[in-house]
Amino acid sequence: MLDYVSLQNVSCGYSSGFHLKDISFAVPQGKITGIVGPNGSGKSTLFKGICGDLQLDSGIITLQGQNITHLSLKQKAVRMAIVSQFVDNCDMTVQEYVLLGRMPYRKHFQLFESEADIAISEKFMQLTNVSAFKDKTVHTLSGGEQQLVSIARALTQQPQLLLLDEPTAYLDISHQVQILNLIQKLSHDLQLTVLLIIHDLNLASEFCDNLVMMNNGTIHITGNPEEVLTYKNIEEVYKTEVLTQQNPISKKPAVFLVSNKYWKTQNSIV
Amino acid sequence: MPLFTMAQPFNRIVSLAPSLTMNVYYLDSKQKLVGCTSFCEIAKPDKKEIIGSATMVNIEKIVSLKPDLIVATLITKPEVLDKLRKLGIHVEVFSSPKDFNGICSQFLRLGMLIGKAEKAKAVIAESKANVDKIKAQHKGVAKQKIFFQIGSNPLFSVLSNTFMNDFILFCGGINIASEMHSGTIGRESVLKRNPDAIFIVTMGVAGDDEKAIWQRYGELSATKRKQIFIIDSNQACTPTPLSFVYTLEMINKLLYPKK
Amino acid sequence: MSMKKKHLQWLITIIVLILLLGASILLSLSIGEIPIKLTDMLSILHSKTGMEYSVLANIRFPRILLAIAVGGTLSMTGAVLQGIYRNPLVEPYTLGISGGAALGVSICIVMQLHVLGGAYLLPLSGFIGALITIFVVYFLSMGKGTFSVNKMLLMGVMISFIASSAMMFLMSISKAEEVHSIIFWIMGSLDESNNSLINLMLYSSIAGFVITYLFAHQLNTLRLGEQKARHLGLNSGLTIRILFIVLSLLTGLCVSVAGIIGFVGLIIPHLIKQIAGSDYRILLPSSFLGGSIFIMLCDTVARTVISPNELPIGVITGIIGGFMFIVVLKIKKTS
Repeated sequence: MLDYVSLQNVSCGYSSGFHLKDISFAVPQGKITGIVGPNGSGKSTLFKGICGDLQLDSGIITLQGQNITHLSLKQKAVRMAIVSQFVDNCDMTVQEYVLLGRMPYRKHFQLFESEADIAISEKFMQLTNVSAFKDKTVHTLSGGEQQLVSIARALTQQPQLLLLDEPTAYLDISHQVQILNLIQKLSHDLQLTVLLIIHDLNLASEFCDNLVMMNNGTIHITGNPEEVLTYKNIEEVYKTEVLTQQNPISKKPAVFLVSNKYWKTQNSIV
Repeated sequence: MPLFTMAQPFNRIVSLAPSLTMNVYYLDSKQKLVGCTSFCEIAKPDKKEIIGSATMVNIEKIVSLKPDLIVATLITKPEVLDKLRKLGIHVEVFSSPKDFNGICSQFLRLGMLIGKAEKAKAVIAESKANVDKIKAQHKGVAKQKIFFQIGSNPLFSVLSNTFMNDFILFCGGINIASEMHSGTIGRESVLKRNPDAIFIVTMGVAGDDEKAIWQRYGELSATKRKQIFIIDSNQACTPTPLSFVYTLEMINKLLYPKK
Repeated sequence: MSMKKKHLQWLITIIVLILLLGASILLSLSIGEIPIKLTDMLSILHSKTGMEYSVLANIRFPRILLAIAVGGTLSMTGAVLQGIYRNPLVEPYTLGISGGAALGVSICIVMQLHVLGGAYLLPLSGFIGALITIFVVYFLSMGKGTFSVNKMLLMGVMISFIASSAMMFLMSISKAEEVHSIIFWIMGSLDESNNSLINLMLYSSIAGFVITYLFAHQLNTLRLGEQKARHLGLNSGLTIRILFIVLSLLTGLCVSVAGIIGFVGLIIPHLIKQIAGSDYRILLPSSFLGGSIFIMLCDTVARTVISPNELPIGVITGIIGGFMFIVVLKIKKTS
């Protein structure tokens, strides 16, 4: 199994202090890898390091063996596409927004998008079910629809790696499931490598092939959901007592939260 | 202005305007001047105390000189003058004279205040005589249209309710801006009125640049007659009898070199 | 809407604006203290003599050229800045350049440099003032690797404040005529007699437009923000730096030649966006043309409405621009 992304001894962080220390892991090609961990564990920092928004203090990140710092911004953009949490207040139409995904491929002095560009954008708008909104302005759409449009734009870049930052954070369960199902399908149909930050452990378990669990700026454990989402790991990292059981249909680990009043071994807290 | 003689003429004068400082000097009273502005060129050799610029004066400095009379124009802020009055100092305000007669009566008023009424009358009489001499030259002669330009960007014209208008009238001319009430005039409007002579009141190279611009308009009467003149603003814009006569004579000579 | 239909709409918009520009030019040429009929115009231009030819060639035509150059530049710059800063209230002067230029001109007037050394020293002082401001803003907000667009905005506003305080200081210690000159210069005027300066302004504005248009796609991408633009392969930092320098120099030139003509850079891009959309491929040329038309018409009003007096153009653009802004806001609310 080839790794698409590989991190070796990566350190990066903010001048204000928070730093990731010595991160090493690999993202297998064609699979969905989820980054989980409590708030402040370094998920976003790691994400920014991979995207290029934060400079690395040390270590190497490679894409298919190529050191990421040796790639130009354009070269990076045709290999990886990034979907962030929000679509900033944008007065473009959906089609204009999605077409921007073709920017990395634009030749010098090319004024108008080519027929191919338009066809590609239409294909991915179809795939993400936003074709009906083609001429609507982005900020008039709902949160879920905006995420789909973002994904459509990212796909239009025809990347091999798709990075998503909490794609389901502000969505209701129907949209959460819709998007994750879509990502799973795309990953399978287009051979896309997907790396996403996800905070909902159950969704992570259900839809990710691999998980990276972070804690305090380092990696606590990596592996498949069964290996990672054990009651022990969750208690250590999240400092919370949970119950883990198997999802009866998918057989993936499911995490149950239980109200304090049911715990027999509860310490009496005032 | 009713004629009266000051029982006790003022002896310590602070002038807040260059033209008034000049008038004090012309009244042979420079020894009475205890303070003036940084722009009062005529007082520079005598190293008189400076009380500020034309627009901003230092009240404390003025008071420290213990004046009994302050002469000012409307350039000084009324609040400043009020404050000085409240401090017990006599303040005389001279608004911009509307014509030559106005210049003379202001000169006389100043003379009366400082006990130099006779000297004032003498200077005025001589000035009036010179002016009448020039006026007489133009009785019954065809009038020329004159544009008196102050400043270049934007163009400003001398208006008929200011003393500079008399330069035009006394030389037998017509001010092309005589019906205007305010000063900015478009270049096209000047062209339309087709003056026979243009006087540019400014100093230095700026005047030459303006002259060159007017000379581009070959159809302009003033260009055809080669009557585009530059006048030094120092003398022309100062409302004193002597400056007025000096400027008037110069203008007259420029317009009618043979007379 | 298909792409072809959109591109056709763009073409029609440009054609209509060019026609409007042509109409404005003809209008400005024929209106004035000395009325010149359009039908006579060709024969007058042929004859090359006469008062009317003088007026057309030396007064009206130069003003028209300057209107095109200055109006176009200010408007196009406003459109670019509103996109980069992602703030609809930004206009060319927000960078603080007008403050620096105005201070330069004030110093020149107070020291009477242009009177002693030549009329060209006045716009030159303005331009030097603008240049110094550009250096200061650039190095304080862009010198090191990454920079913040917000820092630039703050820097510009601060410099404007400092410059206007310095100007007030100068005015308080100078003669009444000098204060007068400074104030009238600030209020803006297209009345410029130096033909080389007019040509410089015209060629620079066209060159500026061409250079800016080369960045139309980058500007479209920057509408998503610098970070997302980088994710799409765009070197946001470099693009913004280049555009900043080009447009600052142009703005500095505009201010030096014509004074401070407000509102054009603010209102015209907003208006054009309502008509043509926010895609920079159409917004840039439309803003340029729109700005030219707007300033040309305002200038015609300024020099004729209270004839023979001439109003400073800044007065007209301010009043008309202000009204138009309110109207545009109302349209936006109802749509």
